[in-house]
Amino acid sequence: MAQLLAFQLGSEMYGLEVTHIQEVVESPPLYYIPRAPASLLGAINFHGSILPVLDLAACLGFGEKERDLRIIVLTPEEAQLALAVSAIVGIVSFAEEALLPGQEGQTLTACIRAVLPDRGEMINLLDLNRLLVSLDNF
Amino acid sequence: MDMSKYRDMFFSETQEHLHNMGRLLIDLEKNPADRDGIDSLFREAHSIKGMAASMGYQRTAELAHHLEDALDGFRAGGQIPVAAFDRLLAGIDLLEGLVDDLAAERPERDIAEFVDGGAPTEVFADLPAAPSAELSTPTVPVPAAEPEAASEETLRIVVELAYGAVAPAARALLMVRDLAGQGRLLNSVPDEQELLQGGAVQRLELRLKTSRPAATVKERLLAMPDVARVSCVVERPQPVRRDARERTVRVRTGLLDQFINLAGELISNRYMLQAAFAENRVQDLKLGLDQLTRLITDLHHQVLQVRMMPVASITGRLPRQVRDLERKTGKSVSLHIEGEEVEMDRAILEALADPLMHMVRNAIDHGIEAAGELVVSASREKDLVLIEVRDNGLGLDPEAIRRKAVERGLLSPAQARSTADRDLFQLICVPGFSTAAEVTETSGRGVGMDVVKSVVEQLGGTLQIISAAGAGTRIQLYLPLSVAIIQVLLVECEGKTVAIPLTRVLRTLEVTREEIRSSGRQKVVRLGDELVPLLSVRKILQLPHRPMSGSIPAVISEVRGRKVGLVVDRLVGQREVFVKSLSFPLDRLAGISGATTLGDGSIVFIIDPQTLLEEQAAGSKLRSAGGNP
Repeated sequence: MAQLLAFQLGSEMYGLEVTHIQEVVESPPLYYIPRAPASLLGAINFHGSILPVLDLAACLGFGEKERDLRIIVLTPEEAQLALAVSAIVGIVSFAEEALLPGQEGQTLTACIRAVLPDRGEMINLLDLNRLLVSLDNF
Repeated sequence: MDMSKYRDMFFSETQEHLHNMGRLLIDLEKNPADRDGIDSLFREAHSIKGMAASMGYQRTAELAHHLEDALDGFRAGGQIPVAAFDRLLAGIDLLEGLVDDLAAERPERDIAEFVDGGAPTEVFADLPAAPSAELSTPTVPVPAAEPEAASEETLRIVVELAYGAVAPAARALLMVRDLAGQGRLLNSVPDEQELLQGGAVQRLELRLKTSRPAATVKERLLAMPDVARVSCVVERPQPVRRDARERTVRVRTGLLDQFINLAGELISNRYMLQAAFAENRVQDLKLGLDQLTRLITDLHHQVLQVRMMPVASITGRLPRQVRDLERKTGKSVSLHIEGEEVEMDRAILEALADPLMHMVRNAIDHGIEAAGELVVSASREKDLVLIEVRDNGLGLDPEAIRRKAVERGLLSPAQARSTADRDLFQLICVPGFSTAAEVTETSGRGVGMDVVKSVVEQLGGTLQIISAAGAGTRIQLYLPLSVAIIQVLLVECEGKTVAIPLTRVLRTLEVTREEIRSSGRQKVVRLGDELVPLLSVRKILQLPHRPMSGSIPAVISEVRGRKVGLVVDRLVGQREVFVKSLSFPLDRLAGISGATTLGDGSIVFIIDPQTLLEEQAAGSKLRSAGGNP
């Protein structure tokens, strides 16, 4: 069984495999990044590393203003990046076989790798690769 | 077995062997019967072959083996035939290409054409067959690479249509079809079917496989009506793997021993401090702290030492480059390299490699006449390293530069007369300023000198040009030994702090309202006999505007050789900081050269005023171009 961290973006539920996550940090101070796009909220000092915090909801086009103060720090193998989401929900266990393919088109714009049905709800599995490619565009 | 550790070692060592091979070959060309030289060359090829074979890099091993065979034949014959040099050099180039492929995790490129003697001269063909039994892995035929055009890339394109465009779906459809004509359209959202149904389309996302450069595709789209914004980027197949290849340095074992000694001293220092604290001996505490300060300074010094590399690591390629240029231009150039043992921070050296080649190319193209001398030297001058490229050729003609500067409107005729030659020469570093009567195939003098200057300045260095008509040209780069620790000026705008490298600050001043004049629509301030434009850092950083009041703090900096005054809310002060380089995605932001952590743990980004201003200019140009339907 794999595990994912479920979180809310606007009214939708997203998830990211815990293997991609290094730590969830409790409301770290955010520092100003000059001339950063609006989707970068600032930078945090994570054990001496300087990580930008990406507002995932804004980045994926959810007009949500609500933000969880906790920040998700990705493992350094993925990227030197931290994510802010609308609300962190919790850990969900899942079997790889339970994943359904995302809808064509949606997978592109909304960075969804697959969809996991979970107790009547749908959890969109974040496509981290696609998200990082889109950041090339700053 | 985890090979990644060995992979990095393979790359750094192979790189070194390839450099050596290039250098040895150039030396041998002058003295083709030098037995020791041929032996060394053979050993280098042999080492590459061995390493590549043990890593399982078949084609690299095969090619190295092929070169080794050829060299073995030459060794038996006592010398390298003149005709073989080009082919051997081509072989080294191909090896470099293979190593690039491996580093980028691409399949190794095809070598069959080269090995089979498809190159112009079949000089290896009639050589005695050398024993080939010692290759440790059998060379099995490798499947041919996909016949895909090498330069084809997948572009990710996002087009935003202007608000209020008439029949946007039809516009979008035309774009999709136009793009399909420029390559292979992998997908499009919305797709053609959806677009045919019409409706309010605002945004078009496509992936296009094409051999055209992204900029060309983008320009073409921007030229179409109703296009508000276009972004066009090359898709990286594995974006998260971009930094997978760890950089490595070789460290002298002596240096490591010093680290161990220092660690030992730090441990005894700790015991001393603990004991002094337990027994409340204030005098010993103070003594211990003094000792700790010294140890930390030592440690810092040693850590920086680890990053040092000899200048030879970038001058190694010059003999080869000069040889190629001699061929191309038909000139005869004798190259001397001095001070290759001088050490500098590897980051600085890596950044200098291209500018150095450029200066050498310039000197040969435009300085040296039919025959001449070129000296590249490195030397320590206190805390700086001086790198000089000196030729004994034509020299710069100050009068030609004066004329050109007036023609281009860079100087008024009066200014041109009063400017000293030394300052005048700096003008060849202005983008597009060229005094070459014609632009040669390789370069026009001045083309690219702007790049050289901006690299040097980004590293916190300075560039000087000394020349006289008929007496050659010397270009001098004064560079810091290390980039890791720099002096910055902290400034504040809208409660946000940013750092400006002190090397970019000429001076700071407080301007009163009365001192500010308006010239055109530009606010200026008089500084000596110069009018310096005032630019708002708030505006540059896209922060909310605030009317100026009272006395205004300004930082005088130089952008493209011109003084500018950067207006800030507050000058916070000067600090010595440890610069952290930025990794993806922060390294994608233009105008930020690094970041640092202050004593209280807060993060401050280091800005480069020149890049920021250029970005701003480029951005506004783009916006106005996109806004006009």
